Amino acid sequence: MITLVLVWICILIVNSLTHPAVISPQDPTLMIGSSLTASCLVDSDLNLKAEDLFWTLNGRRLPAELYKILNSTVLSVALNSLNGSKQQSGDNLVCHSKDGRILAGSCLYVGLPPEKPKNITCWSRNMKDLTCKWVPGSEGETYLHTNYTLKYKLRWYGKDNTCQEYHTMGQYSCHIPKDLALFTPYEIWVEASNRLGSTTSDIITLDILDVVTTDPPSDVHVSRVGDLEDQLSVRWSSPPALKDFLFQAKYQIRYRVEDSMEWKVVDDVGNQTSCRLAGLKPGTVYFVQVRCNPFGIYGSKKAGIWSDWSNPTAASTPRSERITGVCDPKSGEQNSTLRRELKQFFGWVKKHAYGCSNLSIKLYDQWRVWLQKSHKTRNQVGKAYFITLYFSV
Amino acid sequence: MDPEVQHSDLCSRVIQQLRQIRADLLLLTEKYVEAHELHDLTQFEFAGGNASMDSDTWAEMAMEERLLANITAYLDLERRLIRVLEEQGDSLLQGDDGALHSGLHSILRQVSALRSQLEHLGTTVGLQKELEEEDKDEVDKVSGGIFERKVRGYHVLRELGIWAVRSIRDLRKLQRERGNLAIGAETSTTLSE
Repeated sequence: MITLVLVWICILIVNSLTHPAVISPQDPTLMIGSSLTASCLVDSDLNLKAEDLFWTLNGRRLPAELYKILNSTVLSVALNSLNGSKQQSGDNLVCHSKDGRILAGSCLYVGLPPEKPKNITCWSRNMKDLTCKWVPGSEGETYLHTNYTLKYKLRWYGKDNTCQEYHTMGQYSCHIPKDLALFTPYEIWVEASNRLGSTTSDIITLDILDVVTTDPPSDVHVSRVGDLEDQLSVRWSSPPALKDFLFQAKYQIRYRVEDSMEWKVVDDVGNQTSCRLAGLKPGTVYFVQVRCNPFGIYGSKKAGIWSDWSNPTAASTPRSERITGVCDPKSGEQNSTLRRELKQFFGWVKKHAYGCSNLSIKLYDQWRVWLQKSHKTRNQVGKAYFITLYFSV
Repeated sequence: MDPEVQHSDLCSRVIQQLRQIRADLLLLTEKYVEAHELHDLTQFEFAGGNASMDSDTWAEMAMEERLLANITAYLDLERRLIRVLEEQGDSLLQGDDGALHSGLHSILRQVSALRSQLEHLGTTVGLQKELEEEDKDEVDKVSGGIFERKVRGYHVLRELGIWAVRSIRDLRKLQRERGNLAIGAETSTTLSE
């Protein structure tokens, strides 16, 4: 104890040689609502008097009633019922000379110990890796920076491992890229720590086979069904990454018309890799996406996890012959006029332009997808595109 | 290319670099002051950390001397920025979403590039590279309390801002002086002919 006091005195002496003043305690960590008495010791050689000094907290002058002159070179300040730190880098408690010059400062870290992280959820992409997310305790990182560590081990005989790749899927996530065992459950938990303490979440137990998700289905093709004006056919391939594994798959399709953001979901597709969409509007562009849920991998009884949706694929239904010309065409009509023109144009291109056999109405549909992504006005770009094509041919 | 044109181009490029540093620095300093809760403290005088050199002394200096002073200053600032990053990386920038940290890294890269350009410019006006690499690798150890580190970082940013303004003026002057010298030389050659 005596040694510690001597060391502290030595530090004060060394500091006083290089600094005009020293604040004690330096950079303390405190609980919200607690109290603190800090003192400012000025270098006696600098002709600074304790009675002339004043304190600020985050730049705001603290009232003189809180001060106490301990001797000619030491002024203390008493802070009661401290609020949480405004910034995670700490509140600045500063000792000033009479003219306002900053003599010394100390950072106060005022907050709460971390709470148990909750709701840990994990998924494995194609059984190769594992990503976990969690929710911090309710106070989270409101006042103090909190470190989160995800740990995992094989249930019965494994040693603790620490996840290394954080923030891969948001602020509270971690990715384990490799070296994962199948057919043996893992125990997974999250440790949270800050300046005021540490805590551990509940342990979840999972088998990689039970939390598998996969890439979105590849090669999604959407095509017309002959001249049927209210139908489109959708075909896709099952996820290639899982082709060597024994598993079942469920698929979902969703589609929407070009001008709407509202998706319609078809969830009774089962494990087929094709489907026919019916009841569609004639002469309309549709965007279609497919996703996959692999389940029952090596006999797993758990419901699988849905993949992301595939990139949207566009196709149009044939135009209905029943629609007759209208004097004031609406935007849909304008679209179909433009499409008719383009179709005629492509016909002409096929006949007259050699080496451009890849140009087709599909290209136009792809362009419509692109057009939706870019936020340009349809008409402007439509015309520009038409003109560009015309000249490039 | 004509060496004078080349020189003028180099000056223009460095001026552009300095303008970019200044613009980035304004945003970064704002972010820094906000993150470290220093905004209400900037009204008070911080001890030390000024870009010392009064304007009279500066006006009396020859162009080459000024350029040398610029290079020395950026060398020093580069060293101090590295120190700021080192001593704030472990604790002070922890809660930061990464913007402040990457902003400081970006400024450091820009200052290093600027210093190299100034050194190159120095050689074109015949400056000896005597101060080269002086203590460059010697970065001070992390020291002092957290408040002290916060203030140290603020000083570096503020001083860099002051130097950026000063250097733009110096380079414009250098560009003008060299231009005049070239015109003078051309006129005297024409007259002697």
